[in-house]
Amino acid sequence: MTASITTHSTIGGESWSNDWIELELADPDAARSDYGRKLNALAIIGFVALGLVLLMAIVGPEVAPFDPNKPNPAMTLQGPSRDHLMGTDQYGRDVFSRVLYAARLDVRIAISITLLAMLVGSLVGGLIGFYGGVLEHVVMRIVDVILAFPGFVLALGIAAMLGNSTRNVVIAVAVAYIPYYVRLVRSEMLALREQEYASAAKVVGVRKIRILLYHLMPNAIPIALAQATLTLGWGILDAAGLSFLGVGIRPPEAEWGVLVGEGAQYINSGEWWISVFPGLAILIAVLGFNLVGDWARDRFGPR
Amino acid sequence: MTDPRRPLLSIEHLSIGFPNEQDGAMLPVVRDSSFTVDRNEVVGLVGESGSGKTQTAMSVLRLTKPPGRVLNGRILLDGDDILQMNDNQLRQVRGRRAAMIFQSPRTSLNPLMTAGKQVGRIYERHQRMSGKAADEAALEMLRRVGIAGPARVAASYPHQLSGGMAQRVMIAMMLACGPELLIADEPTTGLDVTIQAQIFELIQEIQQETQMALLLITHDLGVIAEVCQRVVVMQLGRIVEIAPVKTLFDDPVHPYTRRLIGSILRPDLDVLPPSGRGVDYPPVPLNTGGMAYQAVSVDAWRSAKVGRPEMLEVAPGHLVLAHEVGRSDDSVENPAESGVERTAEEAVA
Repeated sequence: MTASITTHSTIGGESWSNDWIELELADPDAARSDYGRKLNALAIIGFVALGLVLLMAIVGPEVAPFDPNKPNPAMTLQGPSRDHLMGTDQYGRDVFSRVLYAARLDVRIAISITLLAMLVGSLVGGLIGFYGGVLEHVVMRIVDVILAFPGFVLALGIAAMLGNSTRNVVIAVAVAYIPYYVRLVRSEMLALREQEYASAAKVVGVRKIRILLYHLMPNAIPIALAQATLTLGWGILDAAGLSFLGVGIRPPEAEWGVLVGEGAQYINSGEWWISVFPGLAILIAVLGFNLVGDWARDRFGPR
Repeated sequence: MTDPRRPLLSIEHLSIGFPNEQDGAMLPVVRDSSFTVDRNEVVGLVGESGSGKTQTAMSVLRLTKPPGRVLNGRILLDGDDILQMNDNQLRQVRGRRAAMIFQSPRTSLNPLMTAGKQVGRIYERHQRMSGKAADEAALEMLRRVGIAGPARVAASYPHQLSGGMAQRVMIAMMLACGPELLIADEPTTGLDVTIQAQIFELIQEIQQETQMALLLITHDLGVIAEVCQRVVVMQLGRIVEIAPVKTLFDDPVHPYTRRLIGSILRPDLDVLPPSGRGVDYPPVPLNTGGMAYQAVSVDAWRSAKVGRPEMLEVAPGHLVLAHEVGRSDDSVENPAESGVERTAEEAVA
């Protein structure tokens, strides 16, 4: 913590403690600024929402009162009640249980999308930012083209092309998010590669690729992570959107977008609970990830 | 292979250029510069900001940043031309044979690695030590560069270190490489005066201990006087004078060097150093071998309409950049005395 200050100053005597030299070591805690460390109200809401979603994803399926896929012809289209907190759907399946099961799948999809987009995007961005040259221009123009498409429409096209499966949904949405990471990490790398510690590493004979991977990329991780929290939220929304439109996860699998889609046709006839509750789950999840993402970006992102 | 008479570092007719923003034409920032550094010698490189000191030093390790590049010349490290090396050969030179300390110590360290690890990595790499042995060697090296609590500093990240501490860590890193040549580019910029003195003392001590050659870039003439054996003076990309340190201070010849020495504040004299551009510093006439020369401050070259400059050896080991102005009038007393000869080969176009 703080540097030890010993006062051995025997006045007029001979012994001065040598410990004063350690004072050159600044107090590590004082060095960090407080900027962005304090949680604001929005961030707190975000963390609560995110906590709720993660809790559902982790323990949801274990505590779900019913089998999410088991129809019950005797209990179709029941409104919210004591037994069925969120009511039942047209086959008599418990909406609450289905929302809980879907939480795990959706969080898993969001994490997969984010990891894939971040990994590929950061690596490509880091490489082109570091090496530059013609390849950098080519990749950046491709990035511009992809970004010119609305991301969701692009994902829709890719998903429709690849066919319905969880894996394909992840790939489709990730591709739409990769350009953001390419652009972000490239611009960060442009700054990082001019840092003197890159030159210092060069001076002692470190290979270029090692300088990139061991010295510079780790310094670009915070900025990519800040973006990742946002991707988690939008990833869920996009995956749910694809499923809602029928090119994503296929019914009867419990997924929030699927649930909203299944319930949509009953909204007009008054059975609102089938789609509203999963919709709320999506809202909470996206809100949570985004608010926490905003906070993380202020806290760790570029200043 | 190793010839003891050969200088360790020999820079020959080096020119470095950066492209002009308008038309991309290469503007030389260093021109036709030649000097040497011997083994176990401390050479100072002085000159104002923008005179090409740092670019010269960077080129020795081939660190010239694109779009800048070396246009001409050779850089021989113990006979091997650094400019001709491929990446592999270059990596053998960097660190092992030549190393460099930068201006701002804190940004020269990787912010995500502890100081100890950064020094230790060098041992792992260059001496093939195991992780544990390297950590211990790093601690020892940190102690050697005058860090009192090496264990604590080793566990610290760069942002937790003061500038002085960070520079000591940087020096430790470079020493861990065990180079034959160390280039220190204004190693104390941004440090306060007492720490500056400590760092220079340390560098000097280590130089004497390890007998490595040292190329010290600074604009602190006091440091030059104390640490260096020979001094190279640069102005606007040209080397204008090379002299043993005592000669340089006692008998500077080139107008720019005179101006530089004259700019030292003297607290014992109640005068301010003169200021002004080259035109205020009259050319210095030099007569030798029946020819008349004059040394002209580089910023006055255009107005003086001088021809091609050459390095004149006005005394053994004392070279001055001068221009030929015709046959000498023998009645004029030769300020440079005898033994003067032309040393510069024809400048590379």
